[in-house]
Amino acid sequence: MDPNFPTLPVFGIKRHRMTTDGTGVSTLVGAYGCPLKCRYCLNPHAWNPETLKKCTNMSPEDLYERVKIDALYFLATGGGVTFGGGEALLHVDFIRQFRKVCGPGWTLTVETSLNVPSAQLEKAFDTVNDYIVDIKDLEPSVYEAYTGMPVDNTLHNLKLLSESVSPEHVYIRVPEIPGYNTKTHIRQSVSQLKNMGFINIEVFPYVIRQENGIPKHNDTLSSSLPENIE
Amino acid sequence: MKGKDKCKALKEIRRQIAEKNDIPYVVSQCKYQGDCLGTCPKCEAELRYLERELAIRRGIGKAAAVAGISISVCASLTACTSKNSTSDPEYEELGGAVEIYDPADETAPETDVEEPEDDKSGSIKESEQKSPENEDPETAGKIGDEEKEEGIGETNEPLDTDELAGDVEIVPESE
Repeated sequence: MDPNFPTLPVFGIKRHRMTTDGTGVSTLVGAYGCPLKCRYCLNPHAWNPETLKKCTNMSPEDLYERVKIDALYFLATGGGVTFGGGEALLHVDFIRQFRKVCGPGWTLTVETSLNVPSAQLEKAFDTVNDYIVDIKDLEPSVYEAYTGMPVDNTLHNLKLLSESVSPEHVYIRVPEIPGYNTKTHIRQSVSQLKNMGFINIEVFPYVIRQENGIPKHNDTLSSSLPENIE
Repeated sequence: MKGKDKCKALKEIRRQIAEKNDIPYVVSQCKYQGDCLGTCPKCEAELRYLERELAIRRGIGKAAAVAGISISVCASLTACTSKNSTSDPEYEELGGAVEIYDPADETAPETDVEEPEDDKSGSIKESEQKSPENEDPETAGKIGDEEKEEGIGETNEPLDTDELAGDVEIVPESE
C-alpha cells in the first residue's frame, strides 16, 4: 500500500444494490466518518469511534480488487460503485484515486449531506458521476436541531452543485423527520431546491427505529432533542 | 429489493447479456426454497462463465455487446414487491444492509464454485482468458480475473450448492 495515496476506512460493502443507489447495479461502500450527528442516523456506526477499530483501511487498488467481481453487471446496467457512510465526500481524494484505478466505465456515485468544505465538493466534479444528497431540512433551526451542525455549508454547496453539475445527475432527498420538520418546512425546502434548478427531488418519510414504542435516537445529542421527542 | 427478487433481476441481466452476444445460456427454475442474498456460488459461476465467453468472442474479433441493459426492466420482470420511493423501506436498508466489515469475510467460501460445463469441455484455454489482446479496452482489467478472486464477499456463508444446483443449466458451446 503506497503511503502517499489515501486509504479508505471501510466498515461495510454491500453488493448488488438495485433501484436504491442510483443507476443500474451498484456496490455500496460504507466508509467511516461524518461531520453530522443526526438524531435518527441510520448508520451511527459511521461515526462511532468503536467502529474505526473494526474498519479495514483499503487502498484504491484493494477496493478495486474487491468490487471488480461485479464489473460485468456495472457495465451492462450503467451501474458502478456508490460511496456512502458516513459522509462520502470526506474521502474525495480516495475517490479520485479510485477513478484512476477503475477507469471511466463505471458510474461513481456519492451519498452526501453536502455539509463539507466546498473544496472537497469541487474536487469531486471531474470524478463523480452522480450525487445523492440527503438534505435533511433547509430551515436553519430545524437543520441544526436535527444534525447538530449549522446549515450554511450545505446551502453554499447546493448552490455550487447546481452551478457545476447537470441537474439530471443530482438526486435530492428531502425527508419528513418526525418531531423536527413540518410539511411547511418541507414545502419550503422543496421550493428552495427547485429555485436552484434541481429537478430530481424526492420527499420521503424517515423510517424511525422504535424501542418500546419510542423513536430510537442517538444518545449523544439528547440535550438538543425537541420536547415532543423526549 | 429482497434476495430472491435480486437473484431474479440479476439472472435476467445475465440472460440479456447472453442473448445479445449469442452465448448459450438456458435458464431454469431455482430449486432453493429459502431466501438468499441475491447471489450464490451458482450465480457467481454463471457470471464468470459469461465473462469467459465474452473474452473468447473478443479474442476472435467479435465485439461484445454488454452495455444498455435497463435495470428497471429487469427488476419489473421479476414481479418483485418494490414499493414506490416515498414509502420504500429500502432507505432503512441503506443503513441496515451495510454489514459491518469483518476480515473473516475474506476467507474463501466453504463450498467451491461449480465449474460450468464449458470448463470441463476444455474449450477455454488459460492463455485465451489471460491474453491482454483478448480484453475489451472498456473492460480491460476489470473482469475475468477469476483466478485472483478472493472469496465472494457476502456469498461466503455456507450455502448448500447441492440445493442451489440446477438453477440454470449452462449449455457448453461445443454442443
